[in-house]
Amino acid sequence: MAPLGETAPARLGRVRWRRFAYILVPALFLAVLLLSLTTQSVLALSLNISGRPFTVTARVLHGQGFEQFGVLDHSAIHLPGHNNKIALAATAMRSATISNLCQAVNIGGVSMIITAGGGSTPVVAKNLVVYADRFSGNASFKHLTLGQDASTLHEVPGVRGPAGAFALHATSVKITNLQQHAFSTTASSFTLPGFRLRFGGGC
Amino acid sequence: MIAYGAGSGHRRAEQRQTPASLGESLTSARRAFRIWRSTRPFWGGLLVIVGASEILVSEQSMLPVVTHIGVQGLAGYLIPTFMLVCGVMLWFSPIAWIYHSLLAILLALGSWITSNFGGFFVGMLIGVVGGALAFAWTTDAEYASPGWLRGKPRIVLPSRGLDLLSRLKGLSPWRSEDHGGPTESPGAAELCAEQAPIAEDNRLSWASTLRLPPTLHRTVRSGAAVSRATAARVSASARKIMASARLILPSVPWNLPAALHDGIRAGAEHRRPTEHRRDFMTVIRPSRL
Repeated sequence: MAPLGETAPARLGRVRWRRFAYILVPALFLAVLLLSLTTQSVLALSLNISGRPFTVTARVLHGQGFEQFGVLDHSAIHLPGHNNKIALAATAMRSATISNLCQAVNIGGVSMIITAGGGSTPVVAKNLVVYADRFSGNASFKHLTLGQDASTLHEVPGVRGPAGAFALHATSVKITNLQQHAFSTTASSFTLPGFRLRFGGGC
Repeated sequence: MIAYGAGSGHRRAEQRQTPASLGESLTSARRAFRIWRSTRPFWGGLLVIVGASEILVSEQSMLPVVTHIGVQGLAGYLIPTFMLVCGVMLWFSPIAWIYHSLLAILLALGSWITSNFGGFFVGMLIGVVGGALAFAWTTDAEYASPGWLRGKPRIVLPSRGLDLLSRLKGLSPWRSEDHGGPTESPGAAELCAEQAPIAEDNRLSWASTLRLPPTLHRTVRSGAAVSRATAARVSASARKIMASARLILPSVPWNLPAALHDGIRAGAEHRRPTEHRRDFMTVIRPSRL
């Protein structure tokens, strides 16, 4: 097979630095615009972290459509002391408002801290699913049902547990001083007012 | 415009004929890679690939959960995947580099929304810089085109300028018939004859790239006798302009190293013109790239 590069006359070229500036400056401007739109919670992001443990703390969490069940995750990652199988509690909420959210992720030895919702407007998350192995906080539920089969859950569309597993669900939940040690978070949309990202430190 | 692919093929054929030592073949492989690298936006493509991979790694997730969430969850994977494809295409289809680099920038920016703040900002930033770097990569042939960026094109008389330059240098690379310099070497004569059609073809684009500073230009146009210092300035700026175009016309002899150039002119070496050209390519490229 002939290499693709030889199908057309290949030409020598080089980088023109002025041209580089012409395109980089508006691109960075757009990036800053995206960032500021996120900070003003105009733009909703989608979040999808997994594979490494991280901690999430929040002062108050209001959740609508809450469900929780246990899963035994056949994780591809090898963690010391976890024997390749982690028992995790899956917590799913159809929508949640979170004030003083702080999320610490470890990326290659450097911890990255995301804080948001510190002001008067809280963080809003849709279809939030968190897989955590430690979960603490003061919770109060409304219309709580315990012991439902995890495969019949319907509070959050599409998120169900294995058949026969213990599950609980509630129409709404309020958790204060939330603290969780999670392995995976997905949210279909996340508005982050007062978004701040920094490296180093902790929550 | 020359097919450098053919040029490197030439070298490969050469290599097969003569059994080379390990060091030599390593050197030639390095040189082949260098040529491969400089005929495409290599660094830009590399950064786009690295950025896209970083974003993908940042969200390696349990796919079942993502598919449950639906289109928005999948977009988190699709956008960095498209970005990765753009980076690869920058390497293997350099002809469409403008399209792929702009797309890579837009996808990198879009990954902020869909994929973990663009891989926690890092992958997005690498992708944007890589895309810009790839966009800024141009071949010498295309570089003259965006005239609207540099104001109105000046009217130049390339023949006069080249004439003056040729007189200064004692050679006329453009027309073999009025070759004033010593052409005793059959190699040099053949070389010129071979170049003539290329030169004719490129005369127009050449004229558009030849932009002397206005004062020098006026001097050249007037055709007046000039001082040695002015002649040197004309020569220097013309050479600078030609340096930008010399890869379009690779066999024009002013690119040759002085010793080789003098050798051809003096007719000391009687080699076939293709050998001269190969010499030119092997000698000029490493310093140029």
